[in-house]
Amino acid sequence: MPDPHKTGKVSGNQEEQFLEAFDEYADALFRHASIRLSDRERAIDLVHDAFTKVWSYVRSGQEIDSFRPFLYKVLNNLIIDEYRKRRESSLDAILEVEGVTEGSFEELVDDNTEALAATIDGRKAFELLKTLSDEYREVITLRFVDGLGPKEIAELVEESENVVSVRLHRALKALRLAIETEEKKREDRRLGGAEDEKQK
Amino acid sequence: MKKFAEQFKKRSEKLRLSSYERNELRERLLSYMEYHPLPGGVGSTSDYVKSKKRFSVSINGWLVGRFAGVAAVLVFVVVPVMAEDALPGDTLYPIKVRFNEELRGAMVSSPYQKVEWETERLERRLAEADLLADSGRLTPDAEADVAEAIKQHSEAAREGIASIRATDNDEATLAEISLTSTLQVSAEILTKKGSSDSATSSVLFGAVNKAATTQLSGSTVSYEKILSRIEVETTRAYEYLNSLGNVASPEQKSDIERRLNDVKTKVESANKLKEQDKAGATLLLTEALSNTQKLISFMTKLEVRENVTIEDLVPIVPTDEEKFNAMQLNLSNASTTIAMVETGLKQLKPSSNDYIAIADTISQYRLIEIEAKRYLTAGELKKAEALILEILEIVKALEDTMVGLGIDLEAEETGEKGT
Repeated sequence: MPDPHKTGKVSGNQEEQFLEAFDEYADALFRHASIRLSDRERAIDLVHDAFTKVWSYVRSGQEIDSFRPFLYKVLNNLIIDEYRKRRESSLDAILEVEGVTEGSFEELVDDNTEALAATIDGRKAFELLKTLSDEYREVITLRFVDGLGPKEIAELVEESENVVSVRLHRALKALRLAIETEEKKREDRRLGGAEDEKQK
Repeated sequence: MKKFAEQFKKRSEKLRLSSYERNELRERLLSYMEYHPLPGGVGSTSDYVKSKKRFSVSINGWLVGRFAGVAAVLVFVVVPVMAEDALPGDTLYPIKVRFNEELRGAMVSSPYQKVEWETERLERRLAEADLLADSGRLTPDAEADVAEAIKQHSEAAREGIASIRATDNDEATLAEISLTSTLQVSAEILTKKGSSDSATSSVLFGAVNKAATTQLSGSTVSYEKILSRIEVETTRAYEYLNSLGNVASPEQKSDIERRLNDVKTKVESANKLKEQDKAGATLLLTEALSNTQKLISFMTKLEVRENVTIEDLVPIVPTDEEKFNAMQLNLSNASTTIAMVETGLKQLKPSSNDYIAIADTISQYRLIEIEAKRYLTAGELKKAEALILEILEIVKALEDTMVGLGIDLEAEETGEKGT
């Protein structure tokens, strides 16, 4: 897991620093966007847009203390915009996020989340991540792919730490459910196949 | 939790930009930075973008006043354009090499482009040497300078390859294969020129040949990666072949097509060999890729077509059927010669030492011939080939012995032997 406190502090030559930030974070940002969007080409475009926006910010004479969180913030906003555009043309997507309300107190305990994660196979979870809503995918990616802590995620998505913890918990639950559903389907198919064999 | 996080992260790390995507993305970003530079006075500038900014500052000078504009156009446009045709020894040559080429080099952002650019610079130096030789100006000093430039450009290209290797070993090895193919083509051109044209000395050949034969890094490339590169390159090659039109004669086109088929055969052999000997199969693919690139050079560069034959560059690889036919012919020719030797043998006393020695050798030939024919019929071409070579040596030795003994073999019967 990368050091969440790694900041990529900016100093000295701005262009060099900016290009160094590209060299250091391009892969991680691409990974994040690619998982969120399930679209490699679009992910590359958004990473490009994120860097050009940050460059415009540098050009405007603004100081950037640290490139990493700034880049994540810009990329995250771009991904949200992308989802908005997609939602406009997809009724299913609107329905998918309905009913997600956060703030339920019994789910706020971190131990609960840890215990829940311990019951999930990480590899299967990764494959099924795309079946989740973007809100869940976002929080899981930031936590387990980008290695950010709840506080950093909260700042990035502009929610309280509690909301982030609950969302993470629910996202893991949804992932476990997705894995169980997938396994059940597979089992049914297997049994169905065995039944067909018998009839033959 | 720890296990979940580790599994999840490990799986996600497989998702990354390919070298090509990363390189292209960096290019796009640099173009953006070039056209949206930092305003004057804000921070310093890196060498990377500085080279682009230097140019835009000069153009801005043009806006300030007509005189400054004319001067800027003269300095940055007219002179560099005129310098492009300069040769070593010309006044503008240093502008061509130290300004034009360095500026272009500074605008090259990726190691891939650096390798391509340095290779092109190397070819430019050779073309200049050629023009100098044509006009009788290729002095030993000029030649030594060109040889030194070749060394520098090939070293710079290899540095670029080393830099690619830091992030992508496969791409670095593929770039190395391309560089070596280009250098081999140049070396071949110089060999031909060296034998037909005394003006081109061996100094240049030595420099290019040394660059071409510099020990490769020895790094292997993944089988799938090289296979997919061959697909791309052969597609390009067929496109060039189809677009040759009247530029090439039907015979030349058929020669090229034949060699592209050889590449295909090599790939098929590699696919068969892959399971038992992956390293051997990869080596076959490396040859196939190198040959395809040489064929592309042959089709696209007049300099290459004018100086070397396609057979010099990419010799034909006989198919199994062609090998079989050639071996049959060799066996038949050997049999004819042996019959003539047997006829000549009648002139010797059966009790003489020479007679006994020759008869023994013929018996030995018969045994090997039976064995060779057996292998040939069984399709074991390599084994048959080895025995047929042995037969040809025996036949040659017998012929020499007969000549030594003063026994002439009849003219119509001593027709050409296959080799």
